[in-house]
Amino acid sequence: MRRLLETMQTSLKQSIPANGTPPLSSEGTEKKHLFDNPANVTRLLRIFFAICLGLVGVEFFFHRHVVHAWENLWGFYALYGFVACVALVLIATQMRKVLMRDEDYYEK
Amino acid sequence: MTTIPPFIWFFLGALAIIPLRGWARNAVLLLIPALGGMGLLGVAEGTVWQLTLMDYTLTPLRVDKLSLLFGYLFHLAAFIAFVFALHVRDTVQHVAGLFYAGSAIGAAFAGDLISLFIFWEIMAFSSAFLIFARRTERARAAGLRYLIIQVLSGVLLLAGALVYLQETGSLAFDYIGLTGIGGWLIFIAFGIKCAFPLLHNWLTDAYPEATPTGTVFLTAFTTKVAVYALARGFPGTELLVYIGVTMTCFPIFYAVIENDLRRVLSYSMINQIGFMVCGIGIGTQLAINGAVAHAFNDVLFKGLLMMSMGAVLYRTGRINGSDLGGLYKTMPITAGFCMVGAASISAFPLFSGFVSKSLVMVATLEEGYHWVWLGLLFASAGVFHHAGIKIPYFAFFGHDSGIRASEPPLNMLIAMGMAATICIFIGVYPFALYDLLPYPVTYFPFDGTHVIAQLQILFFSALAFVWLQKNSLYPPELRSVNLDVEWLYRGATPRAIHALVRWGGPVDSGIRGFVHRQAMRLVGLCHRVYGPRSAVAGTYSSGLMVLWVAALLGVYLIFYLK
Repeated sequence: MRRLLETMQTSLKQSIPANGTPPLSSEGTEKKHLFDNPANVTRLLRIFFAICLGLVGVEFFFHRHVVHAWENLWGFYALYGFVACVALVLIATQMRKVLMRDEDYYEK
Repeated sequence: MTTIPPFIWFFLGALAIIPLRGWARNAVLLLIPALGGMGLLGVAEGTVWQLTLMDYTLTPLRVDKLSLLFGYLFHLAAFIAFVFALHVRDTVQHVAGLFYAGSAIGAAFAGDLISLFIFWEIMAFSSAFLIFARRTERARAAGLRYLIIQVLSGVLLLAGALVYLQETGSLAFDYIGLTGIGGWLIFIAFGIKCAFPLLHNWLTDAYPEATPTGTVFLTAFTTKVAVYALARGFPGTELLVYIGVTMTCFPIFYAVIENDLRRVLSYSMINQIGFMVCGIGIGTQLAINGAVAHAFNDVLFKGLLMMSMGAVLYRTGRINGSDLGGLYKTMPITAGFCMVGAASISAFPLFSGFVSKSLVMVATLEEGYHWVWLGLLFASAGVFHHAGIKIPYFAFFGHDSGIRASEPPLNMLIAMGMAATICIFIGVYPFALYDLLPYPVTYFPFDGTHVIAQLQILFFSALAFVWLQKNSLYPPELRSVNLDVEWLYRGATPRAIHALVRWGGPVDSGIRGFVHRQAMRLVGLCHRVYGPRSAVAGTYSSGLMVLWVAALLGVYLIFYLK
C-alpha cells in the first residue's frame, strides 16, 4: 500500500507540466480536448460506419479473385472479421469465470 | 583482410562503458550499433571465420543472406533501443543491453551448434539483468523463473548438439530436421525460446516485469533469434504449421482479458511469432520469405508498441488498463506513435505488417492448409482487436483516468519516431525489405483483392469492438491475474510442497520417531552384549589368562603325545 502511494506521488510529480498546471483534470479550467465533445465522437463513428458500408458495397463493382471456395461468399472477409471478433470476446469473457484470480494470487 | 565478427564490438563496448559517464557513454552506446550496422553492409555473403578447438572446427562467423538479414535487423533494433534508453542512468542495464544485443548478433552469425550454444547462454544471462534491474520483488522472482527456463533451453541445446554430433558426425548449424534424438532436443530448445504453446509462459511472465526500457530490448532479440534458428534448422517441418497456428490463436483470448498492457503485448507477441513459425513449417520459398520478413517487421512494430507503453509506464508509473485512459490529451505524440505501431501489427495496408503477413497467408492457401488458413485469418482479426484497438484505446482514449502525464523525454520520442518511420516506409515501399529476403520475391502485396479483403477484416473487427462496447458486452479491464500454464510451477507446485509439509510433517515425524526408537533399542542391545561390562568385551586379569594358556598348552601336549 505504501509503495503504491509512493509511486502515485512520484508519478504525479513527474506528470506536472513545465507551466505548473495541476496534473489532474479539474472541471472548467482545462481546455476541451478532441473527444471531450460527444459530437466529435459521433462524427467519427459516422465516418467509420460509412467506410464499413463502402467496403462491403464495393463488392458490387469489384470481383475479388478467389483461391478458396469460401471466399466466394459475398462479404466473406467482413463477415468473418465481425463474427471472429464477437466470438473471441464472448469466449474470452467466459474464460474469465474459470481463469480469473486476484491480482496477488501468486504472491499469497 | 579477415572480418572481425560484429558481436566482438558489442562485448568490448559493454566493458568500455563501465567507467564512462554522460555524453561519452551515450556516444559509445549509439556508435557501436550504428558503426557495426554500417560495417555489416560491407561484409560479403560467404564470409566464414573458423577456428579449431580440440579437433573440432568451430565457425563463430558464417555470413549468408539469412544471417545477414537478422544481422541488419539486430543492429537496427539495438540502435533504436539504445536511443530509447539513453536517459537511463543505470550501468547494469546498459552493460546488459550491449551483451544481450551482441550475443543475439553472434547467434545470428553462428555457423556451428557450439558457438550457437555459447551465444544462447550469454543471451539468457545478460537479458535476465534487464528484468532484475526493475529492482522490485516481483521482478526478481520473475527474472529468476525466466533465467531458469532460458538456461534449461541452453542445456537442451547443448545436449542436443552433442547427441547430434554422435549421430551425424557434424556440428554444423544447417538443416537439422526431426530425424534423431539430437534433432528433437534441439527442436525443443528452440521451441522454449520461441514460446511454443505450453512452453510460452516465461515470456508473458518476465517481459512485463522488466524495466520500461529493458522490455524493448527483450522484445527485439530472444524470440527472433529462436525464429531465425528454426528457419535455419527446421524449415518445412510440418509439425511447425500446427504449432504455429495454435500460437496465433490461443494467446489472443488471454490478450482480451489481460489488464497489464505490456502483458497484453507479450501475448500478442506469441501470436505474431505463430505466423512466423507457421511460415517456417510450410517451408516453401514464399513462406520462408514471409516468416523472416514478418520477424523483421515484428521487431519494429512490437518494439514501437512496447516503447509507447514503456513511455506511459515511465511517465505515469502505471501500466494496467484499469488505471489508464485519456492520455491522448497530454501525450498526443506518443499516442500517435502507438497508433502507427497498432496499424502496423494489425496489417493495415501501407503499414509494415501488411506486406509480410500476407506472404505467409498466401503460402498457407497455396499449399492447401485451408483450416490453418482460417485459423490464421481468425488470429489476424484478433490481433487487430487486442493489439490494434485495445492497447491505444485503453491507454490513450476510453475512460478518462484523469492522469495528465507529459510526453516522455526527447530521446524516447526520437526512438519511437524512428521505428514508426520505418514501419510506414516498409509498408509503403516493401521492396526495400523484399530485396533482403533469402529468396527472390515475385509477390505484389497491393493488389485490389488483397487490399479490400484486408480492409474488410479490419474494419469489421473494429465494428465488432464498437458494437460490443456500445452493448456493454466488452469485458471491462479488471485488476486480476489469469491462470495459464505457469500455474503448474507458480501455483500448483508451491501449493503441493506446502501441502506436503503440512500433511507430511506428522507422518514424517511419526516414522522418524519409530525408526529412532528402534535404533535406540538396537543400540541398547548391542551395549548389553558387546559393551564394556558385557561378557564379550569385559577385561580379564593377566593371571587368569596365563592360567588359560597353560591349560590349553596342557591339552595340546596330551593330544601331541598321543
